[in-house]
Parts: sequence; C-alpha cells; structure tokens
Amino acid sequence: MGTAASPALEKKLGRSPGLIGMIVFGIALLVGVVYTGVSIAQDLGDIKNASIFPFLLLGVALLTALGFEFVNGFHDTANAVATVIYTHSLEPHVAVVWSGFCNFAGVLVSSGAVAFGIISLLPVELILQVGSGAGFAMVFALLIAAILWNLGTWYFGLPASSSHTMVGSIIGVGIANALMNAKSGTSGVDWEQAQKIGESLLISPLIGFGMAALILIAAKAIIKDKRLYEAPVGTEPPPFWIRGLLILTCTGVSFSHGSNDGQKGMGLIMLILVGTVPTAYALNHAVTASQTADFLATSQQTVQVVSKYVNPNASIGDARDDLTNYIRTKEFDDNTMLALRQYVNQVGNEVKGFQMLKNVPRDRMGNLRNEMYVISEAIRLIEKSGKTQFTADDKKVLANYKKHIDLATKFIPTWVKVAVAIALGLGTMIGWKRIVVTVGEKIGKDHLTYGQGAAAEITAMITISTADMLGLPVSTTHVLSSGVAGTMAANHTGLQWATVRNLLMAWVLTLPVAMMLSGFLFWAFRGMTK
Amino acid sequence: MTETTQDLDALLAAYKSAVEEWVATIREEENFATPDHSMKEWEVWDQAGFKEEDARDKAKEAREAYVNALREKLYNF
Repeated sequence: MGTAASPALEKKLGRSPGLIGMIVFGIALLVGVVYTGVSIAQDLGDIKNASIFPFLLLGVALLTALGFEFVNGFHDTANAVATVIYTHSLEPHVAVVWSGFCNFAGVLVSSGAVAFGIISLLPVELILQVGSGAGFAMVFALLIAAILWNLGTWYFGLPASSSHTMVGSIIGVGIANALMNAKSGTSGVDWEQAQKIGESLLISPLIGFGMAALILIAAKAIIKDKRLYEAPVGTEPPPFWIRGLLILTCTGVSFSHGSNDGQKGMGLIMLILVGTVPTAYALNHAVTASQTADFLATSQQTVQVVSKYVNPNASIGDARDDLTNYIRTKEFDDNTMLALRQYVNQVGNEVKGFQMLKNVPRDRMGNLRNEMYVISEAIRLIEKSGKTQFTADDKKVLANYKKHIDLATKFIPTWVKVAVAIALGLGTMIGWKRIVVTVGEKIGKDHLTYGQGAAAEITAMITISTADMLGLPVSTTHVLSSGVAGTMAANHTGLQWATVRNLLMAWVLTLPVAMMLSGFLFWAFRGMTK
Repeated sequence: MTETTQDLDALLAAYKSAVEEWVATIREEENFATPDHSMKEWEVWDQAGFKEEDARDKAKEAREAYVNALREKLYNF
C-alpha cells in the first residue's frame, strides 16, 4: 500500500474509460428519444380530446413505468458486471456501458411474450377496466411499490430479485382488490406465482452455491494454472480465454436481462396506453385487410370446433360474465365452452361489420379489445387446464385463432420498445456501484479470483439459458450472489455472515413487503379516485 | 476521480489516526470499569462507552474512505 503506481497503471488511471462507448450510446439515446417523441406525436395527432387530462395522465404514467425500468437497470447491473470488474476482465465504465448496450439490444429484439405474460397475472376485472380509476390505481400501485422496494434494497446494496418484487406487487394488488370488492376469498390472485417464488427461494441459492462451487473444484482439478485461483495481482487481466469467457457471459446475462426484464415494463406501458388513449392503442391498426379476412375465416372454424365440446346441459347466460368469472376463478363449468362459442361468434360478426380494425369506431375500440382479450385468456386457460381433451386438429384451429386475436390486441409499438430500451440501458450505466461492491467485496472474506469470478458468472449464464427450457423458477440475482458465496466456500475462504444474513432476509422479505406495499398503495389510490 | 499515491497515503494516515483514537477510547472505557459497583461509576463507564462508539464510527468512516480510494485505484471505480 502506498507504493508508487506503475506507468501502465498511471496511464490507465489517467484516461477517461468508456468514452467512446458513452459517445456511441449518447447518440443512440438522442436518436431514440427523438424517435419516441415523434412516434407518440404521430399516434396521438389524430385524437381530438377536449381535455388535456388524459395526456397528462399518460405522461405521468409513462414516466413512472420508464422509471421502473430505469431502477430495474441499475438494480440488476451487478449480475452482469461484478465479476468482469473484479477480475479486471473489463474496465468498470466500459463494462457498464457494454452491459447497458446489451440490455438495450436485448429489449429491442424481445418478442413481447413475457410482457403479456405479466399482464395475465393481473386481476382480469381490472385489466378490462384499465381506463378507469381502478385500472390506474392498479398500474400506479404496482409500479410505485416495485420502484420503492428496488430502491430500498439498492440503497442498502442488497441484490434482491426484481422479478420477485414485480410478482409480489401484482399479488398485493390482487389481494387488495379482492378484499375491497368482497370477492370470495382471494380467488383472483395467482397463488401459483407465489408458490413459484417460494420454490425459487429454496432452489436458486442451492443451484448457485452448488454449481459454482462444483465448477471451481472441477476447474482446479483440470486446469493447473495457479494464477487462476489467486487474487488478481495489480490490475492485470486474466488469461485471454478466461477473459473472453467472462466478457461473453457478461454479454449474455446483460442481453437476457434486457430481453426479459425489459418486457415487464413494456406490458405495463401497453396497459397504460390502452387505458389513456384507447383510440390509438386498444387495437392494432397495422392489421391488414387480408389478415382480417383470415381472422374471419378462422373465427368460423373456431365456432365449429368449440361447438363440438359444448356440454349439452349448458344454458345460455351472459357470455362475458361467464368467461371473466372463469378467468378469475379458473373453475371450468358446464357453461364455459358455450360462452366461449357465443363470444367468438359475436366478435367475428363485429369485425366482419367493420372490415378492418382501424375502421372500428372510437367508442367501440376499448370494448372490442376487451372481448378479444377475454377470449384469448379463456382459450389459454382452458388448454392449460386440460379439462377439455381437444383433438390435435382442433388444437391447431384454436392456436391459429388465438394467434389472430393476439395479433390484434397483444402488440407493442416499436417506440415503446425503444423508450424501454433507453430507460433500462441508461439505468444500467448509473447507480450500479452499491450492489457491485456488495457482490464483489462483501460476500466472501477474500478477494474474488479469476476462477471464482468465472465459475459464478458461468453458473448465472447456464441458469438463465436453461431455466426457461426446464421451467425452473430461479432468480438470476439469487443465483449469482449464491454463486459467489459457493466459490468462496469451495476455496475455504469463508463468508461474511452479516452480508449473507442481510441478503437472505431481503430475499425472503421481497415478496411479502412488495405485496403489502402495493396492496396499501392500491387501497390508497382507489380511495383517491373514487 | 483518480487517486494519487499522496491521496492514498493521506487517507491511510487518517485511518490509522482514527484507529489509534478508537483504541484509546476502548482503553479509557475499560479503565472506568472499576470495583466500585455504584450507580455513579456505572454512569461514567456508560459515557465512556458512548465515546468509544463515536470513535469506532469515525474509524469505520476513515476505513470506508480508504477502501473507496483503493477501489478507485485498483478497480477504477
């Protein structure tokens, strides 16, 4: 300590790291902001509204949703960059700019499937009235609750799971909504998600700790280069191949984060857009005449297919009530298939009358979207439940029909992707230090070696790429932090138990705290909007 | 901000000085624990304990400042 730095180090300290990256990203940011602004102006240009209130509401809601993505960005940066920084594989500022860019790219190429998956966890009655006070109370409550918990854990340098926070917030709103409307129990709450988080709390640390420890032990047995298992000397980067591997995993984790977490904000932004300016965003105006004709043909086929499975004892009621009740309770009854047939027929006739979706009158857009949403969700849940044994051909018809109605309602304008990509990318580059320091310095009692960094990050990368495939409910954040701990244990260097205790506490508390926060906020906002 | 060797030396010296002060307050606190098991002596001992806590916080702050500077030098952030 206190000795003169080497010329190479002085040179490194003297230059402005990541400058080129910042310039490139700055240009991308400027182009993105201009593009987003122009796109919103074009979309809203035709809307004649006497009141400025919906536009103000839209602005505030959009900023809140983008704020959520921004916080998500800096909260989760450590998963991708902590190990490359502490192994000197990349300069810190280069690492975060690179990670931000990969997040940005990940958002842009994302499909949107996760975005609408998140929406399907929300109480159906609130989705169907998203333009009302209750709908906005829901969106603001869950966004603000998620932002608050993410900011709180970030302030204390605790890498908690952003996904668990979001799911907790959604469940909280569901419970509050059920209680406030005196629904039977909490039937509208997706408890399956809470169970998955419970499993994740057990599985993630085990996978992270165990796999990273095993990789390090195996590496020590196979690769005899001692430098890999000692703390970095000075600021020397690791051997070329380890460095390449770490940069590759940093890239993969950042990209996956962008393509996955970015979508959570997108789904909520779409809800906000549908709620505030349904004329522009309730239905996909890009659906062509030939696609509409295809839809009408498929609609007729679907009516015939569903007819085969209608229970002869079913009685005609209110199709919408029957289907929304089914979506909320997941209780399939005699009337469900009949209601589905009736609704598919009704929507087909409506679309036939308008010829094209963009011809749908303003006052019908929101309603038609809701009808399509209810049908899509009902088909998804009926197939998932396995209560009805469709033939392979019938399944194809249903899938084709669902694809068509999802094209009309589950779309994400490019400017939404660009705005989210900017928010997430910028967030990744700002405020990352707190959690990076925790992961790099405060979990183990020794400095991270090249081998430990590689083992932990490879574990995170393998987990991300296989979790979806195997359906494992794991959190990348938990896996990486546990992975660092696992490599410390495998090295017999010991753990900083105060940090480990705080981490475990934050992980366990994330779900209940997010639930309580969002539930309380929903109740408070409902009180304000009544 | 990059850290020069002089900055690091200054932070190290501040840390060492804070630790010395902390050690002195520990000794002082220990000295106030006497066989006179009275309320008055307990009060005095308690006050020395609070002083020790303040000195410990200062030493931890000085350590944090030095660690941050080392991180700036060795990891560049």
